[in-house]
Amino acid sequence: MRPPTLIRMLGAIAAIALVARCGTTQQTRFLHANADLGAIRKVAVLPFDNLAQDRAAGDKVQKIFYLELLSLDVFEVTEPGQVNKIFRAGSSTTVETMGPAEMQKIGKDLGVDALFVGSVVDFAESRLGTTPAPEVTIQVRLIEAQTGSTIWSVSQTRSGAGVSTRLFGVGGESLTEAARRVVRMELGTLVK
Amino acid sequence: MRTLDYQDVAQTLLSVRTREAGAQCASAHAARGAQTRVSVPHFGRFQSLALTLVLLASVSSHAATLVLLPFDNFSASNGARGEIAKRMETALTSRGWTVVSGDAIEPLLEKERVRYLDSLSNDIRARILAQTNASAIVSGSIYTWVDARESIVALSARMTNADGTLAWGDVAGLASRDTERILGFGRKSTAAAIADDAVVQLLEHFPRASENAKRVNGPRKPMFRSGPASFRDSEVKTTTNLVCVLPFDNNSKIPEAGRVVLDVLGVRLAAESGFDVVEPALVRQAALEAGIASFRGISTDDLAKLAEKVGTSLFLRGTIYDYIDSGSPQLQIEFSLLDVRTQRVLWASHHARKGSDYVGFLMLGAVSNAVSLTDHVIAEMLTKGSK
Repeated sequence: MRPPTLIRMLGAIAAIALVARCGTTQQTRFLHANADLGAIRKVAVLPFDNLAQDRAAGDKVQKIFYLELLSLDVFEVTEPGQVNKIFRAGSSTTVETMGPAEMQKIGKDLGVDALFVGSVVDFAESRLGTTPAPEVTIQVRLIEAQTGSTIWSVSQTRSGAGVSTRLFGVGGESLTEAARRVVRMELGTLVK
Repeated sequence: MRTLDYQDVAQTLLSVRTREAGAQCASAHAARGAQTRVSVPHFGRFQSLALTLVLLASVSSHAATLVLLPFDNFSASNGARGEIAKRMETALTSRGWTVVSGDAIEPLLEKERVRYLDSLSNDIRARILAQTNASAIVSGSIYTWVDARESIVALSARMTNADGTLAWGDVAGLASRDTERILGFGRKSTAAAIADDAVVQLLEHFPRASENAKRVNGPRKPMFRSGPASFRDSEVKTTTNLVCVLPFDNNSKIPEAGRVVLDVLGVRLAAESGFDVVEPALVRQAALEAGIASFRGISTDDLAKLAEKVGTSLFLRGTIYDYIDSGSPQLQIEFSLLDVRTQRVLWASHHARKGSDYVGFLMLGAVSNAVSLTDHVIAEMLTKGSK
């Protein structure tokens, strides 16, 4: 017996949806074997390094990360003005070039248990026809202030347009929305 | 217990009037060394009633006067200020207000050496209101006045009470395409014609002289679109919070973007329940006294100094990342509300939108200009934060 027309049509749409390349996400994660995440109560978010072409991408993503971290309501997060004050008073070294000793000092000055540092690797928008296709890659590390060592690290990429955008040309994701999703997924690996 | 009737009111009002008259007389006679005595006559019941009505009418006409300051003009058109002033004055007069503006107000501003027109300090405001017998001040800004194929006019205005509180404030931005009706009829192409509609839109919720002023909320978010990323601490009190809105860091290529965002945020935040906003003039004065030259990347210590002077520990600061007005408008901003007393962020929000995000049924509804887009974006951020 042949299936009814409606079911066949739905099947065809589902097949097209599967075939169409949807927005992809790739993730790499590290968690230190001896990390005690439960002991971390107060954290600070240091300025993100920017490897993308958009000069403000580091600042934008850091603000998004800070906001999402606050929304989790798991850690007490240091006010960004205090972090800026420490960086302004100190040398002009970028976070990426800092060693464990410097991280320990910053942690002590801020009175926190751990420091979030990050890098924005990709932050650009390409177009597939008329639909936007964001390309976002963000790497984040959590550094224990007491030892200056990395206890958690994650890198996530989100690229391409979603299925509905490709098929129907609606609901395209902006760069900010894509960055927010990436940050949420990254933090999801730290806090269940 | 003594009950006041209209006879008492008449006597009181008359004595106030005669005191003022007497004071003027006394100062006039003082030069001649003469002593002025003012006697208050006694009235019958019906005479008192008539006098009360006359005096109350004169008091209410005093309350229905307002000062219209010249608008700040950020547009490239030098004539925009005069064009808007003309339309504002006509519109306010048609609502029953007696308007003190133009040549009547310029000498006072000059005498008081007023440098910033967006907001006046408490003492200057009090003196200007006293000298003009007005009860409120209307100030505003013209952000865009483009007279081209796609003409655009965008402006904002606010009414400040004598005590410095915001009575009313609104934002309007219109482009030629917003004036089109079905099949493209009724399109207005010149900036002057669009300005007529823009002023009508701006003053839509402006009170009549006999009405109480109400603060106006911004537009609501479009359907089928996710809102801004937002966090709001449960500790933000439900009672009124006095917030000091600081100038935003402006990373866009448009210098006046900071002013647009600051003005729109000030007006819309004050309209949200639970918030009141410190007058910009007070913030400037406090920064001057605290020796703060720039708000860009201001430290928490400097904010603590400022907090003592502005009378609140709550500061709202933020960054403009994108502000594009040409073609399809775009805006990306973030802000955070910081309590310097506890050094905690109580509210943070980040949002980005394009004008085309508001396209809805029949491909209509796209936001045509950056000022209106700013209004939409800020309204969404405030709505999400207040939930």
